[in-house]
Amino acid sequence: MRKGLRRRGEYDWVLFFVILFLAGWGIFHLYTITFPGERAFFFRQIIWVAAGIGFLFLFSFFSIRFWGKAAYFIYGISLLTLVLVLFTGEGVHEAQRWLKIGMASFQPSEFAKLGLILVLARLLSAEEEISWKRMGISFCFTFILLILVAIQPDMGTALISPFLWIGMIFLAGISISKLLSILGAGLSFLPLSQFFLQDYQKMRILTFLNPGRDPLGAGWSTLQSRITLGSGRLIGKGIGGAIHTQLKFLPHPFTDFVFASFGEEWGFVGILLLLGLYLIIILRGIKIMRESASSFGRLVSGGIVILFFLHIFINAGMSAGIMPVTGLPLPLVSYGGSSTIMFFLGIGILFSIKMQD
Amino acid sequence: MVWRKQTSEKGDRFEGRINILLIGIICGFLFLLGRVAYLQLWGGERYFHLSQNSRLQLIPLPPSRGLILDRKGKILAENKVSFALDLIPSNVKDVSCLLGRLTKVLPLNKEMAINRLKKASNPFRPVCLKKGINISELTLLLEKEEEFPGTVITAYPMRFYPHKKLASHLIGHLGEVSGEELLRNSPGDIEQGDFVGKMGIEKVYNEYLQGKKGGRQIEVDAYGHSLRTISERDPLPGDNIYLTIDLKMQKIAEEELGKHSGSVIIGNPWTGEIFTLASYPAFDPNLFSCSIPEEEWDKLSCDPKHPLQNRAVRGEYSAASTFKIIVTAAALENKVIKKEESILCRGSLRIGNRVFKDWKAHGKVNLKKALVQSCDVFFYQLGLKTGIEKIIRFAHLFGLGESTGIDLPGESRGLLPTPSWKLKNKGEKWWRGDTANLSIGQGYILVTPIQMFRVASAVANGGKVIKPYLVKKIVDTKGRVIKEFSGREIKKIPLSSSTLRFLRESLREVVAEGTGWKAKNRVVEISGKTGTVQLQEGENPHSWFIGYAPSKNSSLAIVVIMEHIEEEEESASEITGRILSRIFKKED
Repeated sequence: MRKGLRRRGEYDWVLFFVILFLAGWGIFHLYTITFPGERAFFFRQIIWVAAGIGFLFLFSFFSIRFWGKAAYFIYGISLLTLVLVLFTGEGVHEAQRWLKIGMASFQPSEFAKLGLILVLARLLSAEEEISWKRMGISFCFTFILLILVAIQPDMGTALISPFLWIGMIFLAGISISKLLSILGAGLSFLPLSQFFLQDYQKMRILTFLNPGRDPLGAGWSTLQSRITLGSGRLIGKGIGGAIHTQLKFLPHPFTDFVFASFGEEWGFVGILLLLGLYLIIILRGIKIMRESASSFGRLVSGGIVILFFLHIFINAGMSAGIMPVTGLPLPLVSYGGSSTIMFFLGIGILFSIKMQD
Repeated sequence: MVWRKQTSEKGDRFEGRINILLIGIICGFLFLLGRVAYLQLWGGERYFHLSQNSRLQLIPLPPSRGLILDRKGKILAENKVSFALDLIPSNVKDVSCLLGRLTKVLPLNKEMAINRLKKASNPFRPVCLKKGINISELTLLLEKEEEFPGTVITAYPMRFYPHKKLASHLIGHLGEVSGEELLRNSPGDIEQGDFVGKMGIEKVYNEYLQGKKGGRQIEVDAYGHSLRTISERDPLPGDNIYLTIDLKMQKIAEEELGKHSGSVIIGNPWTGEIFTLASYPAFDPNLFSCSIPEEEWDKLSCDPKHPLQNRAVRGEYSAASTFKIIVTAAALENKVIKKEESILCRGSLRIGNRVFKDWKAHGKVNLKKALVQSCDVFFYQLGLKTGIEKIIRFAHLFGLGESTGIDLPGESRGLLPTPSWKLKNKGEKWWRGDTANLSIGQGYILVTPIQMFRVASAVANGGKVIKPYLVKKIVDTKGRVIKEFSGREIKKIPLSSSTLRFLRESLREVVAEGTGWKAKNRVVEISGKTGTVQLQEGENPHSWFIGYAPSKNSSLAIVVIMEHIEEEEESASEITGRILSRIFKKED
């Protein structure tokens, strides 16, 4: 073990400016699709992005050893807030997702994702070869979190946590035979249900799992989102021209279906640029992962990269009609305090891994 | 944890895994991009025409608001079909000309209409010009439809309160959503121009009552006629709320209170269920169901009697002699006095250099007689002997100075004065006279009727401080019970059984032979305590009665407060007697 930490690198300014550009673009987009009466959403998002930037720099000052030592604690706090939200959470027909602390309320399930990444990285980095036992423990950690968010219900977070787990044990170097047996076991559960179900029954189950979102007719939001996205064509309808979004045909245009409203306003060219920027974030993240000298650092940065990817893929896929409607925010672009700050925190942790070892 | 550098072998394996991950992610991105390209480039024209087609319109379908019912299912708030005249700004060329033609058919505030059109955020969405159109106006509008291009007549559910002023404060009323309220809701659920609960149950349980909007996409011809429905989502009606209120009791209480400013609360002393919560003067909540006319609003808001204020939870009064219950409990529990000890009351008492008056010279009184006859001189001395800290402690135990947590908005907490409070707010030291004043519930102390309801309940139920509540259950439209409420004990006051027995016996005698004799009736035996709030010179006093009935195995606790009663008028005890005898007679 090396004693004493020294500052090795610099901030990854490319990464920083890319996320800043994305968040700024998101805010501008929010401005163009809201009416004067709804401008408060725009101002709030500005405040959250500003807070996020502050947290990013704050988090980047911590050493990687700090994250290692605090991993269990952070995970424990995440579970605690997830349990608390079930009892005291706000929400009526909608899910109980919000926890109030003083004036502010936040969604613990967003921050729990980071807690899960840290604790998994800590568990999986301890040994060279991952034993069944250790894998079982890491699975339990994932599963407890999955159940807690599924009760709320926050199906988005519940959906991505097993993928996060598989991604991280894969990165941690689990042998291919073990991975295949896990995937086999997981897959053998799925088709059992899939075989016997008709399409409309699957839809019913999805609506059942997530009743608050779309009580009558699951087709409404997906159809509207496809029309919205598709009508943007090559170059979009221009700034402020996203009529279909503005006329409220598109449900949840700032959050779940922000990708569709983006496509309407900025067209295929805009989507290409958006996905390109996300790819840069992921490539820079992978670079940080490669350069990290500890397996803990590698696994944490890997986990954050996977988290970004899952959010992007599922949110965009939802708008494009290839993913079920589960309600995951698009990183840094979707309106929402908890998710915006969480993604900034994730980048902050990436920075702390890059700069210190 | 492995902090050291990776061995080259392990590093390579890591490297391999990272590459696979990267390939996977890039494949995912390409897949997404391919799908978006398919939608935007391949299907773009089709989707563009679908969305751009100006013949498409989205008609919002308002949900019907949940009902508010009493405990037996009688309707307190429901919905009536009403018609509104809407205008779609994008379809109108000459607004002032159109408005001019419209005013010939129906009374319309032109300025307000123009103002609303200016504020309209979305030129394609209907703006409401007038709500609550009557049938003759409706037929005229429909006859000359082609004269008013761009207008639409919509049917919408309007809130209707069949009992008008009855229980208006507790049921509440609706109003147009404010900017602040818009923010608190998740985007999309509530929009500008929607009506939401502004007061009472309508406000507190708005989320349940609201329901969810639906919408209909229709294709229209050049005149705005609907050609066909493209897609439709039904609105989801709100949940129904069953109150703990008993409509019969509420009616009796309001009838007996009559045209007297004040409040009546009746409830179950064991659970905190409220059966009646009346406040006078009241208002007609139907006025608010479509936008309230300005002159009506001015009349209500400028009325010196404050008809919009719910006196039961917001009215702050001196506790007056009803506070003697608490002083007695504090004195007995702290063993400051023996029950049989007596003093001589000459009708006044000198403390420092001030003379404190009593309402009459009682002669020789002991504690029980002092309570029954409401002797002030006795309580001046008892209060001084007990000491301010102990009195305050017991007042806190009985729940004064804090909100009861009843499910109504804007509850007052009252005021429980302490020496430190006086020093901070008045800049003066607390002196013995303040303690004497507090001992008979006068001076700085302020309580609300709902707080005194808890005090009366605590004596009736053996010292439990309960949380008063107004909603029995919430039921969705399919009849499933979403939430059910039951009594909750907040804390227990440490009262010995002998103190409780003494208090209950004394309160029984207050009505049997003491100051509350006017509450006596042939139907039910009532226990309670009266109070007369002395105000400034020249102002008529307020009258309190707090108590419970029957005296043994009480099933109801009651609080009555009447403001500024004239000398020859009936007092709160008389009203209490009349209300309770009518209620118990009905139950037989």
